[in-house]
Amino acid sequence: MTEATRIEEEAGVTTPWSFIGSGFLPWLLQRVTAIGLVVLLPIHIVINHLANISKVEEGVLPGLVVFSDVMERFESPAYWVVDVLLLSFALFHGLNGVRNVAIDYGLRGVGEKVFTGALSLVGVAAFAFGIIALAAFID
Amino acid sequence: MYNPVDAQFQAKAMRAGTAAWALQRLSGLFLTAYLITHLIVIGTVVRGEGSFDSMLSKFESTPFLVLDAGLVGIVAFHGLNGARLILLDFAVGLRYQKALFWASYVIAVGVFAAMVVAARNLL
Repeated sequence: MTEATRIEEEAGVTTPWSFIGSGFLPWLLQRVTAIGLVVLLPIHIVINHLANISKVEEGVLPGLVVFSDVMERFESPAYWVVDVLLLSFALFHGLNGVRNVAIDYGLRGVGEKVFTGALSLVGVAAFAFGIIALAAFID
Repeated sequence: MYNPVDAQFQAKAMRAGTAAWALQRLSGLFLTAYLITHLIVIGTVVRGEGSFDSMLSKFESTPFLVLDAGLVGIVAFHGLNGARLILLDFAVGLRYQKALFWASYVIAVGVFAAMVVAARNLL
């Protein structure tokens, strides 16, 4: 932190870009993704799992989660929207939650930046892997 | 060294708010670990339809179905208690924060039971 920004901060001076690095953005995104997950996860669980229980009982499907059934669902772009949103929201919410725990236990400064960077890499890699897996269900 | 996080656990009697905080944290860490596992399991699809179907069929046994029901219960608790936390952020329902925690807990146990009932013919 430069002397100028330290003085500004102590004086409570805010600028339009003050929110960057203030921790406000992760706080807000944690809540936005939380609300998104509360809406999307029940849809995901009901469609992929609960709805299939009766189909297995009636012998329509050989199992609760089978490739052909998932592939059929992905013919509709709405499931793509649900799953891509779920993937990104869940990854951000979970990994940012892990970051919050580390900060609670006193991780600050360089260590915090390195840890945040490492979690971001995990998030981007897992997102890419998730998209590749989803794409495998498309003909 | 004094650590406020440890101090929360060392209080003589854990209060509802502390229990809610600890359960939210534990369930959150568990669900993040589950998310990564979930991606790896679903990721078997990149090795083809056969790999995916044989992997997923392994989870269609009684112990895994009960664990699945437990997972949905944990998701329900984390989501409901999370909604309570968002309300508290806006100072809504402060007076009922304990009741809301217990409601989250009881409903989550109910969701777990409902999931077991829903899958009873497959168990």
